[in-house]
Amino acid sequence: MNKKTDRPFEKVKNAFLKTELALSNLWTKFYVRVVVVLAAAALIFICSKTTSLYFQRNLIMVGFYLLLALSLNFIQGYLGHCFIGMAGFYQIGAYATVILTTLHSWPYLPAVLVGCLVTMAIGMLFALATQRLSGTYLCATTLAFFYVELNLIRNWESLTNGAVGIQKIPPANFFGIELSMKNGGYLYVIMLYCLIAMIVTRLIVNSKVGRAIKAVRDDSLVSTLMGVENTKYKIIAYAFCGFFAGLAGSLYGPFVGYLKPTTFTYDMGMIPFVIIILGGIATIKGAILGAVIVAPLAEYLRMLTKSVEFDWLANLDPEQWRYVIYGIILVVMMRFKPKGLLGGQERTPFRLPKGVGRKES
Amino acid sequence: MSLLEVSNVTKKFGGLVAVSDLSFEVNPGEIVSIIGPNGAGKTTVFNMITGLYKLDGGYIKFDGQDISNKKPRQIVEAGISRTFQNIRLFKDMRVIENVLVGEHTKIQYGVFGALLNTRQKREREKKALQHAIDVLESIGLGDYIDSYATNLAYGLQRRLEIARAIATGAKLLLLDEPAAGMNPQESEDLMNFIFSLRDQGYTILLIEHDMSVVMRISDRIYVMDYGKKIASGKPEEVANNPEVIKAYLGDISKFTDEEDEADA
Ligand SMILES: Nc1ncnc2c1ncn2[C@@H]1O[C@H](COP(=O)(O)OP(=O)(O)O)[C@@H](O)[C@H]1O
Ligand SMILES: [Mg+2]
Repeated sequence: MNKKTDRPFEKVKNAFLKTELALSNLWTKFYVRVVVVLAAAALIFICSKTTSLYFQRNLIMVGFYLLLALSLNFIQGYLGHCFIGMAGFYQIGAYATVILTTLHSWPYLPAVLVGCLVTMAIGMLFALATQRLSGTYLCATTLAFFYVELNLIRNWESLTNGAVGIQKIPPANFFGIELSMKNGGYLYVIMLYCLIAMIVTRLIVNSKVGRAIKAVRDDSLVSTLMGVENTKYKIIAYAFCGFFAGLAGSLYGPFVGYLKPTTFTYDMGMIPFVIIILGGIATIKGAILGAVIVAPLAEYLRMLTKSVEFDWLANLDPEQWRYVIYGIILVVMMRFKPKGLLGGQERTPFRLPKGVGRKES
Repeated sequence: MSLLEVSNVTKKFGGLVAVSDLSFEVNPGEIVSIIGPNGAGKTTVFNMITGLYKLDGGYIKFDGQDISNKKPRQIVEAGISRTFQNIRLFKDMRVIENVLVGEHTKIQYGVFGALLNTRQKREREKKALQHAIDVLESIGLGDYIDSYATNLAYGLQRRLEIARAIATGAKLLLLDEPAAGMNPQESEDLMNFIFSLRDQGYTILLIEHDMSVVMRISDRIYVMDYGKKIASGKPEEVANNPEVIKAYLGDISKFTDEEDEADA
């Protein structure tokens, strides 16, 4: 490789790595975490009160995609399966909830619970059915799963209203409060869901369960020989992924107000994929960084095309351009940092609970 | 009574008889080696003992219990664990996590315990962590707890594999060519390390190509060729066995330089 051309790149990379390490070290301190979480909460509150609804909508979409990325992480990051059918789980969660609230007049929260559990169960069944597949075949099957699921929704008219879709979805009612953009409810709730997903991710990953899932990813033959029941842990990873994708879906229906089979596209499922590849695979911070960069991409592009006034740019729909950018992101990351900006090996020490450690030597 | 009793086991792959009517035993506290040319069927024997391959005949007993065709998990729980001819670590996990996976079957809590972060879970996790650290320290990896497995030097990776096997609580360790790819100094260290394992109470069944190691370390040796046992006994007996010399030790000079790149 040409050294000269690599040097500026190396400099940027080193600066980035240094910053990352400094921040990671800060993050290990408990009070820093408290401050950051409070600051984030305050920021979200202020945004809901002061910014335009347009901006708030973008923030909410970041929240939705962050939640999907966090859920995809269970499969793509920790279990190491290539999963490109996320839109399928998202859609199942959304439809299951909305069918109950809109067509059967269930109250909102019980419907959410059922929606999440249904998605989780389908995730688990998918894992069970594909337990002998791996690699490219498995990846292709996850895509097939989405299309099968999509066509079921489209054609099972008695259950889903088919191609007509479900209109007039009532707003989500969260413990007696009707969520809206005006009262900031959707923003708070999606952020709360993200927080829950992060806490659950941490609890699972730093436990026996998370280690078993990662062991299956790294070497499934050896994990078997260590007594790990591979299929069980695959199913568990899919269960968490399904649950949180279902949770995202359960809020998405009331948020947009109507659902059609075409609401959920394959591309929608690719966004969480791009988010974790860019931000950092198998990390929470990576999902956050990725979601903030990738989710509002169409909006950045819209702003860009307006401000620079290139005719040839403005004539193209930003919605279309962003898929080009997703492609570029995937290719560039595969070349330079396949585990994502914040992915790969952590450089902070392994966290040990109090009272555990090396004997004095 | 012998700790491990392998009796008339056979393994066929289609027309190929990889292991044929093989019997041997390992007594508690012994270091026993299996030697033989490449493709003799040594690794296949390990795969049968650890439950990866079904037997096509014969039986295997451990601690008086029949473990033939049991699931790998049951065999680990019974007290047998192994390493691999080609190092197989959980590469993207830390050293300590590798060892903790070894403890998997001994850590008693489930998904709900993990989610609720119960007191019981925290206690058991603490115990497991401390045990992992102790194992790593006893094996000379105390300074590498935070490292990622893939970043360790070759010799240390071999040790980590053994640490992971020990962490399962195994009494019998199956080591598949642990000295492969090591220089003479590293082999020497490894040998002393294996002696120290024996002194700690482990029983060791070893596959090894490096004859200088095998002859000095083993209490007893079994020699395999084409899936069959062709000789057995104390190192000096095996070394002087005309059958062995004819089949294989006659070529010892050639044999020791041979690079082995076979399967795991
Ligand atoms: N899974 C398998 N499928 C087919 N043949 C195998 C398999 N495992 C081992 N063999 C064959 O069995 C023979 C013994 O192999 P192995 O036990 O690995 O030998 P060693 O460890 O003594 O070098 C070889 O001929 C090998 O090709
Ligand atoms: Mg072998």
